[in-house]
Amino acid sequence: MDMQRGRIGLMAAALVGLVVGGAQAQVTTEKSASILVFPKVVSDGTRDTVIQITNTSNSMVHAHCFYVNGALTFPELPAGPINPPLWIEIDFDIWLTKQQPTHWVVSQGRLVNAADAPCSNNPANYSCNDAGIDPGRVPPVVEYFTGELKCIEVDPSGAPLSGNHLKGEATTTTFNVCNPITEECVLEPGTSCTPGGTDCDSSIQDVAKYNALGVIGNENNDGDPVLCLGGEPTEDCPNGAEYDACPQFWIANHFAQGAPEPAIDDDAEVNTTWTIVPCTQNFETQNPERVTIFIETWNEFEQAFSSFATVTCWDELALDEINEVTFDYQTLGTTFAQSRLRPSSQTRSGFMMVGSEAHVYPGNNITQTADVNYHIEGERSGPDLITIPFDQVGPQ
Amino acid sequence: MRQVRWASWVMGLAMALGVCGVRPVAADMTSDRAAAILTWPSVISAGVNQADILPTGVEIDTVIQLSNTSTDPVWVHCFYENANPHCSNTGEVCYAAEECCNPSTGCGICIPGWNETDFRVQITPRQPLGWLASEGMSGYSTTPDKAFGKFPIDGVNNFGIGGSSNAGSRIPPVAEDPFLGALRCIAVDQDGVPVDRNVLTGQATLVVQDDEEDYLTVGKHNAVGLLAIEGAVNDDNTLVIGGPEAEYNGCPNYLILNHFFDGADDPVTEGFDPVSTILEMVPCSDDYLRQVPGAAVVQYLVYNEFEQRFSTSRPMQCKQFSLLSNIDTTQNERSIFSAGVSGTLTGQSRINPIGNGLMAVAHELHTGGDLSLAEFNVHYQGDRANPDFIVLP
Repeated sequence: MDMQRGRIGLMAAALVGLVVGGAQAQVTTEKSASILVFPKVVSDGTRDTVIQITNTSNSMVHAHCFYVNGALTFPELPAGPINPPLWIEIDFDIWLTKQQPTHWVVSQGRLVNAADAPCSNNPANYSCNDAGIDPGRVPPVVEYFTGELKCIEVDPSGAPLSGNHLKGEATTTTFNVCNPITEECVLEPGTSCTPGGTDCDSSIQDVAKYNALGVIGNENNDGDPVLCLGGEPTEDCPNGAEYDACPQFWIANHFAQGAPEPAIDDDAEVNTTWTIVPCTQNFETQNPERVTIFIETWNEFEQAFSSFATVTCWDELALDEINEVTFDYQTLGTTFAQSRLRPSSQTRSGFMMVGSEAHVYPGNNITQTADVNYHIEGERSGPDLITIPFDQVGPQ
Repeated sequence: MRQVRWASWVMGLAMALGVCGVRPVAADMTSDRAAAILTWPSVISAGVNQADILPTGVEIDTVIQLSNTSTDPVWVHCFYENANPHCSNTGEVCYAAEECCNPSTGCGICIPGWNETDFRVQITPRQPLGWLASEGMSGYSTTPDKAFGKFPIDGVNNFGIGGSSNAGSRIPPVAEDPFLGALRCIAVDQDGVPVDRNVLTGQATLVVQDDEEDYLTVGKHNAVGLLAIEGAVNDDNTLVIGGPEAEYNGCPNYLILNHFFDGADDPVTEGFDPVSTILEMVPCSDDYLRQVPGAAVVQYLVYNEFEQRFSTSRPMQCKQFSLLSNIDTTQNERSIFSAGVSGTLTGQSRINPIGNGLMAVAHELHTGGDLSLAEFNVHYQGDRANPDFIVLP
């Protein structure tokens, strides 16, 4: 009897899922999810990134991951029609045993080697980067990589699965090396150096960390190559939302660009950068998605300013790159601002973002950064689609 | 050498707060959505004159940000929770027993402490506010460029939308220097009665500078929010968090922390650059009326990358500020949270509170060269069956 009730309950839940189309929760940075998005993954000679992913369940979990390189074709030149982002993806699979954490450095990847020595006190071995059960063969990224990592929970056959078992973090380390373009030390603004030389103080480093953005899977996931984030049933999404929707609003509390750093007496200032990726991605056609973002910024006087940003595929935008005026400390007139970002009404994709707050101390000649996850509000009505090449789904 | 200086300070502070620790449902806690109750588990401030506690020249402060995401004004009732221990003989702040010994008074005991200071703030629609923990916010600066540490809208010379203002608001500096504690803010109406408005977001930025060694570092995390359940918040002074009679969403069953094991070598740098993590936790429950902090016995399940499991548990009260490898022992290298014992670089710790629920943030210390700090919010899983309570005066 109880079993029957359970079945009826499950059927009812499934039907509700089919009719309503799910999409009730949105993106999360604090719960396990079925899709993990690391919007900012960088390995460009001055920065490197450590990825941490963990299986929070007591079952084995598989995930299909995509690196998307959003670097410009010629990274040293400004973006433009003849210098578009590369939008090159490479994919790989990982599998994690119950409750297993894993990590890798994106410039190194993680190769399968059962002979990796574990960390140990006796004999002392703390440089044990690859110790542990290897999660699969994780390739290193190319030499100049600025882009995102997306991992999708799948079943053993490779079909997408709404298990909600994955969580992750990304740690970005910036090295104080000589920037070959500006010929200044990266973390010591104004200190000139010779590219490839040893003029920069290598004891200075900068570490920042953010939580991966998670998209929670719903129970009506049909396991096909088209992942439907939010929205009602459509031809592409006959079951409606297989995953929660992308947010309608991102709420970023930030310093005005160039605002004085309040904790430091020198002429220190704070500058913010947003890293943004579209929610919709088609790995089958490899067409980069373009999203136009409407931004409304409020200062402490409750005065509102607005601006737009356009992001194709992936972008890391300093606030003064988005608009030199509306985010500027002199314009806003207050140290803090609240920006509300949403996809413009003519844009077919939502977006995800993380922030990076650089505290620049001219007195000490040092820049230090803190990454930050922003808040979200509401959910997009239309579905965002992540399309996986069909031959990557199902039996290998 | 610098690493040793930092380690000793962190260890002393952690041990002192370890002593401090011992005493004590519907949906979820959140750090990525606006909420009705915000908690900043980590508020730290220490001026340069704290040579007994910090290395000479080191100064620490916290920038608190608090915003109203709605188009209506909101009032908040906030509580600074001071978790400083004090010497029984001198009354001075101490983070290690030996700090209570001096030639004139002899040796006293470093006694755990917990008391609160509360204040109210009115936040106008969409308004972002921010202040330094060491300075607070008072007075008005009603024209751009607004002076830092002053409110922008006084309700006399200027007004916000609908005539709103910051009139009646004043934020005191934290109660002591040095200060180690937390901040909690609750959305209320004009009369101070809690309301079910999920409109508050917050952040904390920790700034550490060392004028002697000429370095600085920053870390930032989001305040932890508790969502009010629409229509459930009544006008009494006991806020019910989770459980069958919940007014606010419950605290989680598990906190999940992904971390480097302490002493692990940073995999991206050359040479030996150890990484360690400070876990800072406060209870979900607090009785501000009777000045009784929450408490819990905290169980830790620790998984390494071999899927091998270790566990430990430790009671805490009011606040825990501890290196991971000082949770189960004072000898870091023997801890289950150390890389040498666990055998891998990273791990997953599942933290299960017995007693009151918990909120936490983590500070990751990269100490190979100059200290570099990264902060992050932990993940949550499940809802506690039993409620937590916040009792207002």
